[in-house]
Amino acid sequence: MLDARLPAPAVLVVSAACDRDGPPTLACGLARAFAEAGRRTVIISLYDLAGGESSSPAVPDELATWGGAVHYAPRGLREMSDVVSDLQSTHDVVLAVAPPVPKDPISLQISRLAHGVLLAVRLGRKITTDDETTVTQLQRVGATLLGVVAMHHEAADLKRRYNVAVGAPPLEAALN
Amino acid sequence: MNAKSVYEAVAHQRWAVGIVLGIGIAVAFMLAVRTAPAYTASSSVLMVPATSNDNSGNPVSTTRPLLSDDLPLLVQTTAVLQRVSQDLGGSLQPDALYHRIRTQVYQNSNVMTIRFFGITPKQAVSGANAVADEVVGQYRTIATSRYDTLAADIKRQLERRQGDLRQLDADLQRATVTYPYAQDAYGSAEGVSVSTRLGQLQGEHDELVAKLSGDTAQASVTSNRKSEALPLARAQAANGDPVYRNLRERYGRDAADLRRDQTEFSSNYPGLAELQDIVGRERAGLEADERNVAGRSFTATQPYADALAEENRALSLVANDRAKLARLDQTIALAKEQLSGSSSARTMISALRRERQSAEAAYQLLSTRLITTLADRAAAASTGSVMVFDHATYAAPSPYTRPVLVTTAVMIVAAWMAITLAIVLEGLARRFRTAVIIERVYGAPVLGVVR
Repeated sequence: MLDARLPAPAVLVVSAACDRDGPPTLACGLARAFAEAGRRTVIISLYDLAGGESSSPAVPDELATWGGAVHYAPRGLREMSDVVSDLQSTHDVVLAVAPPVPKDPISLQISRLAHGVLLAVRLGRKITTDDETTVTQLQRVGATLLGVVAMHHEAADLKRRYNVAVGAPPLEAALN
Repeated sequence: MNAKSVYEAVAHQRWAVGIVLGIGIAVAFMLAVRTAPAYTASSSVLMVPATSNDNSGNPVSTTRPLLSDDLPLLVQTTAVLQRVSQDLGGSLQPDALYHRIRTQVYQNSNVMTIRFFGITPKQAVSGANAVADEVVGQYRTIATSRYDTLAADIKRQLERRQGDLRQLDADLQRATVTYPYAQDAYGSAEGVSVSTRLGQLQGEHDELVAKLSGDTAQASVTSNRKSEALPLARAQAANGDPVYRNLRERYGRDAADLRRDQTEFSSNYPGLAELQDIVGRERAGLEADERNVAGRSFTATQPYADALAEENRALSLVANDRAKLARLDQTIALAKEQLSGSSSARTMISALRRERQSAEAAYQLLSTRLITTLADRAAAASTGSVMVFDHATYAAPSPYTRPVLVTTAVMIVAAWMAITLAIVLEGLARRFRTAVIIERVYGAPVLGVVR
């Protein structure tokens, strides 16, 4: 269904309102699904852009070992736009895994460039003000919220999910 | 709510669960430290049911026999616990003992098992035996207490009655001293009334008057007899006097000569006047001697002395009778006077005696009641009693002592409270439980669920 609604090439932002909701897991699953559907797919991780405390723990190093993933830390919005444009030229789907929207403005910035935003929500999590803030901020920047994917607690466990991710070209190959 | 949801609730509220469990552990630890009995000793008490076919003739107690179901309640009474505390030397207070004693009465059984928890085997054994002994003692106290109360009350009444009787006796004693004849009328040993006594006195008076008459007549006879004996006595006295006898012989001869001369001769016969003068002098001398003899005592003569003695005895009897009669007259007069003046005293004494009889009857009745009460008490103490069936001789380590049970119970309760708290808090928390809630919050459709 999502595949049919997206243009080619498409840029999708996978983010969340809170930590541990599992955007990387969701992105990996989507990438696998797109790859199995014959789409050239790449994942870029924007978690390190924020730096400091909210950086990398949500995206482990295994993501970088997968051929289709890019562990990317843009130095600015223009550079990020260039990288995304370059990836669009070589891939049908660019999945940008972004940190929680309320915590990192990079998520909103990439959302403005993307064709749509998918939010991961961990089932059973408490409803917080971050959820409402996320929706509000996405609407404010004009991002398109395509929908929400409910993540079970086990599914939000990044390490297990990344281990099942398979086959993708290395970073250099993807960029080239 | 299934196990999974409960698990999730506990997982979500793990901090609250942890706090509750921590508090439970702390409470269990404190309780375990406070009470640490580790040994258990058991004794048994047997309830002997009262038999209804008692043919011994002894008084049967009307006290309801203690039931086996009542024994555990008896163990937990303050009186028993205090006595047990005293028996144990005061090392354990009654409130602490309450938690160390367990009782059990098996169904359809009259045996109650007493278990005592102690921190040492000796304490456990002593405690179990003390509880059994004190239960028996308390039962007997209860069974006989009302009889003790009744007996004490009866004894007090008896003492009061004794005081009343003593007071009445004292009053009677004073009345009898004040009114001796009235006392005789109603209560003396002889049982003679004043009127009866007066009649007796009158009879004695009559007898004494008759006797006096007889004695007076006898005295008169003896007096006549003495008078009759007087001439003879005088004659004997005169005859016994030689001067008188000589003078009387000479007077006889001269008188005979004078009568012969007067017959034969005229008055002018010489010597006749002289003879008459001699005879006259001799007669005067004889009369003087006779007076002289009569003036002497005749008691020397036997007849007169006998008559005189007999007269004296008769006169003394008469005098004695008269004296008795005089005293008897006085007694009769006094009795008549008291008979007329002692009616009020008799009434008072009669009232006192009736009152004393009533008091004595009441005393006897109370005595009978006291005997019956004591018999009832003895019967109540002996029938349907409780006895120690088996004393404790050893103590065994108790695997399920109170600390273990308390700790277990507290932890179970704490776990239950923690789970309940987790479920409640989870129910109150706003969470993403369903896709509907997600869509309502985000305003976007739920595209899928990743499991």
